[in-house]
Amino acid sequence: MDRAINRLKQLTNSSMDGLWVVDNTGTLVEVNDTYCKMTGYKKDDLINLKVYDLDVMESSEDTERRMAAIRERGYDRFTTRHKTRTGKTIEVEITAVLEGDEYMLAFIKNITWGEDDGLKRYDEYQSDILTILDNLEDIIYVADPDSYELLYVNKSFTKFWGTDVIGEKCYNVLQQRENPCPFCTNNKIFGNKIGETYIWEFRNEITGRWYRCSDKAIRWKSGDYVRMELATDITAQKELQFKLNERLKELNFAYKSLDYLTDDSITEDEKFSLISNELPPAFQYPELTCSKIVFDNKEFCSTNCTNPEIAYELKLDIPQFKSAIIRIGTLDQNVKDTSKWLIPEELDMLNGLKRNIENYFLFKTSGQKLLESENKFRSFFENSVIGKSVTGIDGSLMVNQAFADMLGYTKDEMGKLNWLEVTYPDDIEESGVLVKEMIAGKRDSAQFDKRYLHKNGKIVWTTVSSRLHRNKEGEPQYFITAISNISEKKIAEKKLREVMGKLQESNRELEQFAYVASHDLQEPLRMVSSYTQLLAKRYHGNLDDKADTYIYYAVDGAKRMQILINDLLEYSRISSRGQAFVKVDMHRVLGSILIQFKNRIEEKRAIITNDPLPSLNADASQIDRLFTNLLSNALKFNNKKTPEIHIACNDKDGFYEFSISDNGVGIQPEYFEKIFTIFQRLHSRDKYEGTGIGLSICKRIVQRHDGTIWVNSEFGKGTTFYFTISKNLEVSDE
Amino acid sequence: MSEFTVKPAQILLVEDNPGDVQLTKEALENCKMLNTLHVVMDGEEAMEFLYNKGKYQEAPVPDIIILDLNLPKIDGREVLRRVKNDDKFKTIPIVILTTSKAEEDIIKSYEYHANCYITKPLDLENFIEVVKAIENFWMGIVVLPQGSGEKDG
Repeated sequence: MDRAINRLKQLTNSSMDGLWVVDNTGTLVEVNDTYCKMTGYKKDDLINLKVYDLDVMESSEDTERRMAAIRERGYDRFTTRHKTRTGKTIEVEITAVLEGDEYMLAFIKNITWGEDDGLKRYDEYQSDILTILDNLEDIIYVADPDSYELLYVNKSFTKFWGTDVIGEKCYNVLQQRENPCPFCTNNKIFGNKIGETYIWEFRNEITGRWYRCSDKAIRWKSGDYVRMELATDITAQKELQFKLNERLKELNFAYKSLDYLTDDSITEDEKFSLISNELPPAFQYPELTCSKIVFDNKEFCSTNCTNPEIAYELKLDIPQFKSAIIRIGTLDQNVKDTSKWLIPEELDMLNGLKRNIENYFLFKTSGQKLLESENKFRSFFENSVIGKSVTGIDGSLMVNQAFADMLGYTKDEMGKLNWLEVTYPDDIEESGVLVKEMIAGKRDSAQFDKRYLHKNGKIVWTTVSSRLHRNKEGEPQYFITAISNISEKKIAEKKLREVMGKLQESNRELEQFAYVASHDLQEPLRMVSSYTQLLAKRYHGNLDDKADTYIYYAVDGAKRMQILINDLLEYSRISSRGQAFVKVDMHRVLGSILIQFKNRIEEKRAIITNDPLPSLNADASQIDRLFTNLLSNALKFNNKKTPEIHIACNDKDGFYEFSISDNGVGIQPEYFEKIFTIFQRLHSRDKYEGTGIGLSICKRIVQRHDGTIWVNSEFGKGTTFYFTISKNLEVSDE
Repeated sequence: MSEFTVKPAQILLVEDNPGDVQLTKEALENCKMLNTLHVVMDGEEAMEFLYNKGKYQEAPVPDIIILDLNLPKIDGREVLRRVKNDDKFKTIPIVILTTSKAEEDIIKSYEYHANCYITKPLDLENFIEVVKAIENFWMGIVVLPQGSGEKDG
């Protein structure tokens, strides 16, 4: 044991650091000279002292706990403060190690600022810490709790309160007070609250800024506890929070104005008075605000409104008034620049109010209009001379007087009937189909003829126009129907149809008659003709001269009758035995006719010219006949040295208009119509051959092609025949 | 020609109009060819003639039939159809000589294998010319199958 202590004693004196040898009870058994110098004690003063006698930071329990830890781990390193002989404390760093079972060695280094040993290290450390603290946005200060003198401030602090503040009173610097602040939080962090952090928010009246503060008592270098505050600027968050609150206010205002507007128990004037009293927005300067709502000559003012300077005007768009304005003003004559007087939130709020008031008037108007239009409709419905009904989807009826009269019921009687009961049974199906289509949305309305049943059982013919009314959601509601009585028209129509039918029938019979007559007449006529000819042939010269003359007239008459009957047959065949329409090239038609007329043209030295001609849909053989007849006439009724014939065609709307002009004998105007009549002749047979049926046939052919034919002529100079052929004739597939 | 016993051509005229019969006879009288004209007045009689029925037990097989369409009893169209459907008679030339100009009659007749279709000319001269032409063409110009009927030359 002694040997061990001796060895330790040697060791302690050779150490550059202070050194203790401590036994298991925490008692110093040996110290070296370095430690004595460090603390000013004599060795004998120190031997047998306890660790906690020197260590100001530790109680006896702390020492016991630490020694237990060292025995466990074998060593420890920590900083603490030791009391020197003069009563000051020094900061020390201790490295403790276990020495056998009974002792511990503690190497002690003085690291106190300003003391030789710790100087350099502390400088570096301080520099780092200060750099960090000065770069914080947060404000940090340390103040003595007793004297209120500022001991430390960081750079952020000096930005607001200046640099020469160390040693000044904190309440003076921060709050410009002569005495400690009434809200000082020292009582929250000292006494039995030491070590606790107190967090609070407050607005600095001097800077107007909001802070969140963390206050704590910390041990200062003197070893005493001082006040430290770390303050974070939260002005932005606070403003946001305020705006949020104002929004809420604005919303409340909008609702309130809506409440007033929709309150039916108060008059309109009261509504706007109430709103204008609610109005003063100006969250910033409520006491200076005045507001008005002005409709033409009517003013609604807030209670404190006298004669304000106008700050802001908001025009309302309401058709009922020439002008409607919300006006915000200020009562403060000193406010010059009013442009920035209202903040955006307040403008939003005014716009909300504007919309509310506009909608209120819009709603009032549309409501009124609805009422007016309903009255109009009712009057229109009731007083109409045309039958009207509103038919439910279920078939129920609401009718006007005219419709009730039409069917011989009273309006009330009809109201109890279903539409099926007044519809003629044969027409129920057709009406039903249309009703279903309207309900299905395939059509909006339907116009059709239908038969109703009169109370007396007779049929009432009507023409009906029905429209399905749907609600906003598009669901079918009811049919609005207009019913016109067309029974008389229907009777007339029926009569007309009957007459037309009879006429067509008789026309057909007539045509048939003409055909049969001309056909059947031909047989006996051929016999008459043949045998008179045979008679003439065999007995010419065998009888007397008179007999020969009689036979001549009989033969001649029979021949002419044959030609007439042939023409009549052809005429009757134009409509009854016409061919199907096909594409006809008029150039080819003209070409073949010119070949046919070649000899006659050469004989008469005629010059025939033509414009470009179209192709058209027509009965080919009839068109051929038409041109043949007209060209034949043009050649025939011409005694000029050089007959000239020109064929032209003009494209008219829906028609081709052809013309065939000649320089022939011409026709007097009084015959322009007559010449198209059957068997009408203008010349004696001696002069010009013909039966007088050619132009009638032309007329019938043109009519069959939906066209017209007419003539223009100057007597002695020439004639132009015009005719049109429809472009819309359909080519048949046959 | 004189050395052969020349059998006259057997012509069957089916015509209900005696006027036309007379005109046909007049026309044929002046013909170069020797011919025998048999006349029946309706379709039924025509069939009896061909099939040697009734009073026509001894009737010859005609070399040519001149047939009107509009006939009493059996219609000319039906006569045409029956003759042309019979193997025994279908080689006999049939000339349709009628007043009908109807397109339908013309088409139908050729479909039933009529050998030619002629509408009766309205004019006497033309009528005589046509009959002569028929006789001349069918009896003189065209070559017909030999040995049909009772012909042996």
